[in-house]
Amino acid sequence: MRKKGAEKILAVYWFAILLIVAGAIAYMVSSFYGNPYDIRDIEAGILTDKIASCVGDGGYLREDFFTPDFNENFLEKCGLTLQTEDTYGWKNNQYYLKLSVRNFNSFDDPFLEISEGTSSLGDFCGLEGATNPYCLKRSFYVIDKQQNQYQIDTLVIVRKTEKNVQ
Amino acid sequence: MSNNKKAQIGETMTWVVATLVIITILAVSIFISTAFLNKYKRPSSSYSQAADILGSESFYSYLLTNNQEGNSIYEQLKTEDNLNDFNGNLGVSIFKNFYGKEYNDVWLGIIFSRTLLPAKSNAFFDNHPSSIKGGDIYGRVSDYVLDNVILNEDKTINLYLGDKN
Repeated sequence: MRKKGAEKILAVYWFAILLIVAGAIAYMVSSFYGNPYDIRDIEAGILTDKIASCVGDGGYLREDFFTPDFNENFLEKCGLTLQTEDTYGWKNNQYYLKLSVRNFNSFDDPFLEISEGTSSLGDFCGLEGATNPYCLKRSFYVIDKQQNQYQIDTLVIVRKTEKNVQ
Repeated sequence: MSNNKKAQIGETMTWVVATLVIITILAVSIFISTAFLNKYKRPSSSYSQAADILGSESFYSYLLTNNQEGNSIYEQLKTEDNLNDFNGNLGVSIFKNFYGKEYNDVWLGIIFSRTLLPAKSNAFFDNHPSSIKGGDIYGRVSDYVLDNVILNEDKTINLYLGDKN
């Protein structure tokens, strides 16, 4: 009789241990795989590449680059969209991009700037911490058909913190 | 009776110790997985980057740039064996200035296809990174992007951006 009672207690004990082990494994797996990968640098890189491909045309600056039509409809002309999925309360305010055009090898201020998106994201550039928006600054050299040389600096900022960093 | 009780205590102690060992192992595993492995995750950077679009745009514009006589750098390099002052200095101010912080190896120069040492060193970019660091038979050293433009059947102009930071 006493032996039967001990076996019951032992069965409950084993069941409890099994639950603890299973729960711990589930917690460890979810804590490791539950965090998202941060791909904002890749996203910003792709946007930068798209901008450079759009502005350049076979080694020359595209001919309509300095026209008001191109500057005012930059996103449309380059086939870009800064819309985001409707989650986390985002209201299409997760991106900012800016092109600054200056004469090559000059230290003058840019004579033309084109920007789109949420400019306030720029306040976070230079700050430490993964939860800040990701900023990517790059430059390239381009000439026009009249052999004028330009330096184009691109700034692309991607926020999307909720989806990439937790 | 006394011996039976001692045996029971011994058996209970065994189970208590076993339980403590199991819980300790689990606690250590959870601590490691949350404290060390559960960090800010980024995709692996060991993939080979296929191209650097901004580098390519700069490279093609560079080759189309004319000197004061109206000869493009492409035409100059076709007839000359190495970079000259005009195209070498322009290359430095474009490629080292723009991409030197992003890549540890920035090299621009002429590659001859029919010589023992194909990459010709120049005064502006020194030696090809593969001649310093080794590399495979194609001169590839780690992660790199390459732009080539054929100048004639013997030589190409080569922009090498490697070892990305």
